[in-house]
Amino acid sequence: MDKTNNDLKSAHPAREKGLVLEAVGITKIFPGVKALDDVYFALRPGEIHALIGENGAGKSTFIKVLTGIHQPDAGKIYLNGEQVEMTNPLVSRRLGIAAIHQHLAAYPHLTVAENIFICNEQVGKTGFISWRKTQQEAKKLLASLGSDISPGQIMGELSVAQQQVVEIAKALSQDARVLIMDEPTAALSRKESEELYEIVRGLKDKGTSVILISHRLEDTFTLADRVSVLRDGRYIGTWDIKDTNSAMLVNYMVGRSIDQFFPNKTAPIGEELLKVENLSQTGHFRDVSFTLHSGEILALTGLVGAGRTEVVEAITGVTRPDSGQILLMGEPVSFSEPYQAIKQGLGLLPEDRQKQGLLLPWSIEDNLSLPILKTVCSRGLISSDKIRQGGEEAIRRLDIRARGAADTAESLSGGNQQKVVLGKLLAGKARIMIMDEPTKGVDVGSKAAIYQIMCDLAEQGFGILMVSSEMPEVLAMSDRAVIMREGRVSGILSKEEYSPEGILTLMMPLDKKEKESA
Amino acid sequence: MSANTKNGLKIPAWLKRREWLLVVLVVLTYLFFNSQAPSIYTFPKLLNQTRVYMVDVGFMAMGILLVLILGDIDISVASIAALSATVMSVTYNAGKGIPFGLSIILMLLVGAACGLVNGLLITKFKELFPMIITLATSTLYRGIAYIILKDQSAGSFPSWFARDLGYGSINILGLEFPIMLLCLLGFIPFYHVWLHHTVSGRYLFAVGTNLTASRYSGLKTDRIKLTAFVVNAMFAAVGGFFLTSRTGSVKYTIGTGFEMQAIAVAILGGASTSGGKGSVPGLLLALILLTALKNGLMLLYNDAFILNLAVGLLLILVVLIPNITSSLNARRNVRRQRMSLAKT
Repeated sequence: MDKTNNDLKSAHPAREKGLVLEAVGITKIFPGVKALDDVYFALRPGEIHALIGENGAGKSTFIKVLTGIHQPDAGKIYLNGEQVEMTNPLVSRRLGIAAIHQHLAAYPHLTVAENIFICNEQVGKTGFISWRKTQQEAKKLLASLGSDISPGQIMGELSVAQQQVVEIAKALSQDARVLIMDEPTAALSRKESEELYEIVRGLKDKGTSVILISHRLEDTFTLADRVSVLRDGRYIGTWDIKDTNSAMLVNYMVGRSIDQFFPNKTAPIGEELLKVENLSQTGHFRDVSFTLHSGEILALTGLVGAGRTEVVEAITGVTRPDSGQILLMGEPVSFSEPYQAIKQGLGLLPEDRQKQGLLLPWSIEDNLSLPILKTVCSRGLISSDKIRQGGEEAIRRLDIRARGAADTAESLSGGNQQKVVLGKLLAGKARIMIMDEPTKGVDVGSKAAIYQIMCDLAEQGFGILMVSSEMPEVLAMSDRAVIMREGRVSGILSKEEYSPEGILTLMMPLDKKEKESA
Repeated sequence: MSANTKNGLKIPAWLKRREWLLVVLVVLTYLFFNSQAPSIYTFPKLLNQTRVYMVDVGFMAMGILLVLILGDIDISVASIAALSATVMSVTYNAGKGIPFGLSIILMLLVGAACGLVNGLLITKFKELFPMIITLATSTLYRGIAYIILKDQSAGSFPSWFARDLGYGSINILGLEFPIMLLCLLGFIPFYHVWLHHTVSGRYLFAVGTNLTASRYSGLKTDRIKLTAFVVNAMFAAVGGFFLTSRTGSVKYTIGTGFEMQAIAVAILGGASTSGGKGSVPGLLLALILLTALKNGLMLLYNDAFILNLAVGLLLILVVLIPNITSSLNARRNVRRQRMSLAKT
């Protein structure tokens, strides 16, 4: 114990005894970014410990370090006071750490029982898998969680909430002492969330320690005993939940008050640019209607899976709507490929910048020139001088932090990558810009810069449709908000009608009873 | 600062290119076989043998490179060459059919049609693998060639085609250059400029690097793919044209296995099956290397089996070396980053 005391920095609380898990000075570097910088975390036995922070604060990376998916570049992990090396996910699982990841990593084609005992098969005397034992054990585990899911059901046929329960059963089957839950309630209705809360409280009573990662402060306040905050990969602090309130936590998470962060949007709202009427796509969304004006920032918000991205993809020709109409400056249009939408002045900043926005191995300048390649030619041949000029200009205008325009896109941090994607969009001749989660996974500095650019664009008469799931962003940036719930528009509010509770209520899934009455 | 001195000499980027590895291998291959058989393995003889090993495969490889850059594959090119050459010889029919010039145009059109079928199948049915689709069309095209020719061979052509193009050579600075080699070498600069310096060439690399992002950036990805498959098939038809001119006759079996050689050349030259990569100088060097190697092996062993074995080994070697060096580099970079972190 004594020899490890030297490692502790003074900023960290004095080490307490009897901790289940302690992580000290965890640092993780990815090319170009310090994802975690000297992070501290302590977990007491039988507590529910919330880990909160903004997108890109490093929560998921930290969990991946704890579960052995990533190896830290510096720092130590102690389990019951003993130092351990999580060299791979199997080690961490054997040591009793189980994680339920944000995107359920289940096997949708296998049964519930098979999912629970995957990589931990119940072997009979003969050396073959005993399916009878597998089924029995699965049933026992699910029953201990108060669930009546049949072990023989196919995983993919279950609701997200039920799949969560199966994942918890899987964790229990491995005798997990530490259970990590990454955004467990993100896709659950209020009632389902409450049932999950019950299960988690039950685990706590049995002595399991739970690390809860959540966007929703509500989860934190109803469940957690203590809360730790990360911001920009740094550890901010740990508090007893009784000693905090949500304003305090938001402040710790964002690091500055909201007024400093968001620019003042003054652009006047002009004529109608885009009108969407009763747009539907089977299985994704139904009867979506809204209008977008020049100089306006219109938010399209809702929970993950509400169909927002699907709507903008149908508008911009990535997919095709089944029915409904899109009017561009009064003219009905229909696109089957994105290039047609771009030609008509409809630009899209896609949700996933690495897969949809950038050619990662290409340089910044080559990425920026791709949509406008025909304009950087002289006598039929591509002019590398013109590409270089355009690249350097964009780097200056968007304040992209790189050594030069020849740096590859993959060497940049998330925020700077996003600026390159934004630069591609600005280089075109779009009058309408659809931005899908423009600040997702982006550092605070870049965020502010992106907001400023959006306001400038509105000032110049562009119409901006901003898909966002971040409440402060919606409240501060948009003139109006279209709120979606389960593929339908549940409400359109104007700035005067905004309140976080009002928007949240429109976002939350309806429970069965409410659905019937609705 | 200290990192530079510690690692000693810094190699400039242009020297790190794969092409240098190929240059070294070409020189080594030449020196080795020249020492083994000094009287028969000489530069003028090698030059003469390029008509056998270099030209037809070279044109097919230029086509297949486009498809590989896209991240796709086409293993029907040899069958396309056979079918289009069959159509050319049958329609000309030893002077009794249409004029030879028209037959050549028809040959190119047949090639284009085959490529169009491949390209349409691949762009319309995205869930099917190009490998499987072109495996199927490969047997289909050769099957059509068989229906047309049965087990016959068609083989009277104008003398300029069978004799001059097939066996003629031109004396340049005392060396006899086969005419067909000059055709290939004369065409490559245009191909290079088109692939590396024009918009349509750059689009191929973009689509191969990231299809989704290219589509979101406003590229007509399906049309780019379709065009690449059509152009590739026309290159295959041209390959069949040169193959016919040096063999002097067409059977439905001609060019069997050439698709693998063409793919091997493109990959040796720097293309990757995962797309987004490829270079014309690399392709040319890979062609030269294979010509030097095959010619030497044939002289020493006269066994096609040994030849294929050696080509396979070479392919593994050349593809592996850049992989190993880049993973070593990546590891060194991470270590350096950690050291600089520890200092701060």
